[in-house]
Amino acid sequence: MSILQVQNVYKTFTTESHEVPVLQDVNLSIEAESKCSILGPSGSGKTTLLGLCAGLDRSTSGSIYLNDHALHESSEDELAQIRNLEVGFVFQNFQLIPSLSALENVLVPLELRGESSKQARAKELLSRVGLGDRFDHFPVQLSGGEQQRVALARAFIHQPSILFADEPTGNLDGDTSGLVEELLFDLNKEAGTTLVLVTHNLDLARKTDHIYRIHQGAVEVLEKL
Amino acid sequence: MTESSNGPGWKWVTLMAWRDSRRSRVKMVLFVLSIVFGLAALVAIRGFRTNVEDAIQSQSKELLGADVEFNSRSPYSAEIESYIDGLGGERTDEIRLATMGLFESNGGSRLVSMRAFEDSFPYYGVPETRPEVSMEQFHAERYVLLEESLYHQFEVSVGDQVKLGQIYFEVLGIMDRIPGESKLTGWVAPRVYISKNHLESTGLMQFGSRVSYRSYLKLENSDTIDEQLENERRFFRENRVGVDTVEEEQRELINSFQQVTDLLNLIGFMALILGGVGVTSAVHVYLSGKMDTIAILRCLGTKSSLGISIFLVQVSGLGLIASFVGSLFGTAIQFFIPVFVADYLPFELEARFSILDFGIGLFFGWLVCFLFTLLPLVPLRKISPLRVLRTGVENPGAMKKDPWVYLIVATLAVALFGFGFAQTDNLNVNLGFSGGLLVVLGLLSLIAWLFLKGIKKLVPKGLPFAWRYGIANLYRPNNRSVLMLVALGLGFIIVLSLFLTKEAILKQIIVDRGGNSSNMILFDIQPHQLAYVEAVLEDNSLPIVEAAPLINMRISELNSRPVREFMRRGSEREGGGRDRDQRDEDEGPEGWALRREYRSTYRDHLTETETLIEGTFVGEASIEDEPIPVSIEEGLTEDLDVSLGDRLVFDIQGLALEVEIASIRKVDWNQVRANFFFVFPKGVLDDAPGIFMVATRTPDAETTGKVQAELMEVHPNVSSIDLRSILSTIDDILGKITWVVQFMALFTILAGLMVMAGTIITSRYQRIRESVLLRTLGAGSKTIKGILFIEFAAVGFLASLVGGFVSIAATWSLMRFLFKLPLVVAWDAVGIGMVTMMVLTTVTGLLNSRGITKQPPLEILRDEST
Repeated sequence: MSILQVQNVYKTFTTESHEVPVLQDVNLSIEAESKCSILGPSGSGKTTLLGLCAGLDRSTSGSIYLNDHALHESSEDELAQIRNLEVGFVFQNFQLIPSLSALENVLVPLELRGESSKQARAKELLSRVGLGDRFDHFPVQLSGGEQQRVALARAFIHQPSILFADEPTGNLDGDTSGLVEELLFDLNKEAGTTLVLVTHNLDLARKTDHIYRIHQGAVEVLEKL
Repeated sequence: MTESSNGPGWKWVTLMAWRDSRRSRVKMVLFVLSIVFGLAALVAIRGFRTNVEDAIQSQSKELLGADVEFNSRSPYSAEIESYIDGLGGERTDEIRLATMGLFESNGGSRLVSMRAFEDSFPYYGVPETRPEVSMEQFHAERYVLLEESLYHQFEVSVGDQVKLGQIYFEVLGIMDRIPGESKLTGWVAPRVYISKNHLESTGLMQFGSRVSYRSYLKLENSDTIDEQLENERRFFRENRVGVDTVEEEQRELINSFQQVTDLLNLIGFMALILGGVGVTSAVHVYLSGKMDTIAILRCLGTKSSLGISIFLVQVSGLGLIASFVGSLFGTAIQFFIPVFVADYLPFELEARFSILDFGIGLFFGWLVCFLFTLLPLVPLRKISPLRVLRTGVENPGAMKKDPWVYLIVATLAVALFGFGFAQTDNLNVNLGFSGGLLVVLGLLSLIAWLFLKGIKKLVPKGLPFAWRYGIANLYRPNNRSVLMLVALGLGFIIVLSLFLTKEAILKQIIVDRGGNSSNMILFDIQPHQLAYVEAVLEDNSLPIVEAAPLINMRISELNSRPVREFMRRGSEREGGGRDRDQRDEDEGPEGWALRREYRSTYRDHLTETETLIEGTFVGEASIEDEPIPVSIEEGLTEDLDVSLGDRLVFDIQGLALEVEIASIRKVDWNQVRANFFFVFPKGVLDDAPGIFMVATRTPDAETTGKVQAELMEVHPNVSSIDLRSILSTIDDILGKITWVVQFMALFTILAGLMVMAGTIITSRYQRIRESVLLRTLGAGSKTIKGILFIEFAAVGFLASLVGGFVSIAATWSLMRFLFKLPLVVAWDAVGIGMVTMMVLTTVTGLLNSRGITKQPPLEILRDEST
């Protein structure tokens, strides 16, 4: 069963003088609970595609369905609700809220659902990622790897249907990258979440079931390398 | 928005606001502190006004000491006497006259204003004296009560003797307050009080004495007295009698205080708006750092309105804190105001806490602060969640096109206008406020901007590195240099302008012009006393700079129309109450110019203070030449609405004399000598009953005192003015008046410094990054400190330059258009003010930049990145 369907999607950025096509006639279908990665060089449109699939941006034309939600027809507030219900995120630069502690950062997605009494679950997840003794620490008091582990806990706390990870190890050193990768795949497996990984790290991409490559604005499916 | 299973509500928003504030609370409180001072000033002024109005209401009858007061410069006519008696009730009379007082304590003498009142006065209230004395005792013997300034000037003690006229009075103490009068000293003649029982024995009630008569009535029923007197206004005007009732006194006092509080309010409003702009600026920078947080929250599923609600709650809470602190501070100040202004008030002022005033301050303070912070907040609702993937996506800075921004600005204008109205209770004054504030702030911003541009071009390129870098920081994006210059300059301008104006006025009337100018004037000299006065001056080797005959006269006809006719029209115009805003814009002569008694002289030449500007000055004429050609002072032609060739009839001691305006003179009133509205030719008034004045120049205060004492011994009616002592009195009074305004302006300066502190704190991260970069490239901490020092000193220098420039321009305008005097700039005060401003600014800047160079660059970056 397909959880994400991208049909004939175009995305064009308009500058003052001319239009720049980034994605052209993209078609994609991702099965539920699968793991896939999107590869491509810098500027190829990977992040743009991720933004569209996660309901962070709107396509110029075409349709995107996320777990039967028609993203292309939804309002901003509806998109926000869909993200809260269905989507988890892990970003290259962690994107933790600097004024919140590790525990509070993890709790935000639940609180946005009005479920503010699940501290135990948040603590459990933080312990799971090895930060059981850092609940009250603020992002500045954590290392890059630790911040990304908090981000992982936040991504899974509300049990999303799909997780988008944008270069999740791009800002980390080799050892830390390995640990974060391991946690990402383990947590994903435990939760049965669909994983969409955007990266240009071929080794990381190899760990997913399917690999898509963006080339000149179009998406092509690669056999597992 | 309510808490539900579908999403978060206000509880979560408040929780997030609280959480988010944890790491920047001190910074946030500093942002809003800039609004505290303006609000405190306004709350204090409002409280002061409430207290004054309450005091005037509760002590209404004590203000006058009676139900009605009549006053006249000449004895009442039989008609007036009959009218006053017809009103019934009790009556008590008072005589006021200017005379010399000789103080035995140190042998000094001075022109004083003597008030002789009867034992039945006042009907309401009691005179307050130090030590407390019985009025019965005061009226029984030859006692005198003195105004406090005389007590100090002549080192008087209780029991000392003071000679008034021909007799000595024993000093009983100080008259602190008597109904109907403020404690403030007389400009020229401080007051002394004696019992009317002993007036005659002073021998001062004689021809030429400048006497005024007052009568006070206590009526059985005073409810309708205002209405009754209103119908007789013309009658009193024609008889040159002034009338005052409790209600009028109340109204006039309230109006006077409204004018004072309006001025203070204006200053307070400047501080408030300045603080508000500062808050906007600081919050703008603060929220710029929150854009990522909003984007993350949106990414995690927050609706745009919910994301900014967190910060809305924060700024709302901050506004509440600021307005609470401001209102509390203002209320506290209000309790100190009576201490400083007691001398100016003719009534007891008691400061009371008013929950209403506090509430108004709290509400409007919060609203203004909230709206100012809302301005940078609303564009944040446009932040895209995509920003988490691409920094810089959809910069929400396009405030210009946002209809919400227009709505907030409009609401802000309405809120400020509403607050202004609550403060002043007057629509026109409030409109003037708003317009004036906009003009002042706009103009100041323009001047600050021009100065910044100018300096940029003028800075030499060969300056050392720290200098160039420090000055270049003024032009750093988001540095808000114009705001800092305006914020710092505004308070400085108010304080310096007032000081410069006071100094300029004092310099105009400065006594010692050197050369042959006079510094002592003797007057009320009877013709037979003139020779003796001249002899005393000669014995003391003093020159007679000027001697002029003075003849009292009143205008009875103007261009063949009796003066009463003009006055009647004036009465009709003034009928129907005196509204604060009502202006008499009708053409025609001014009432005061028709009513007043003129002291004219005769001579065959113009003096050095006079310039002929129209017609021919006629030096000699004969009584047969009627109409007599006279010369009139330029300003009076406007007040009397006359020109060359117009004719007037003067009443000189009952004798009618027709004159024609033959010339118009410009008179330099600033020079201390006998100046006149009308100058007659010689040969006409030579035999008219008159008195003389003589001006001389004494080398020192000792000689002045000696001459005064000698004259007083033989001719106690001859009065003299020592211009040196008057100058110090004027200096003292102007000093007190300007002090009150300058005190309020201090709040504007504090607000300015807070705005600057807020601006520096918000740009701290940027400064740190620059500092770190420079240190990484090899700059030492000394260089970094040097750069900071140069930057803040440059801000201070520019602010003081802008402030100094505008202050001089403002002083020039005041002197030129209000006081009609030339500008004399006290450059020393300008210099001291500018240096003080620079020091204050530099210290504030450096204090708020502490720590930038002390810690390792990486540690600072990690710590400050939030």
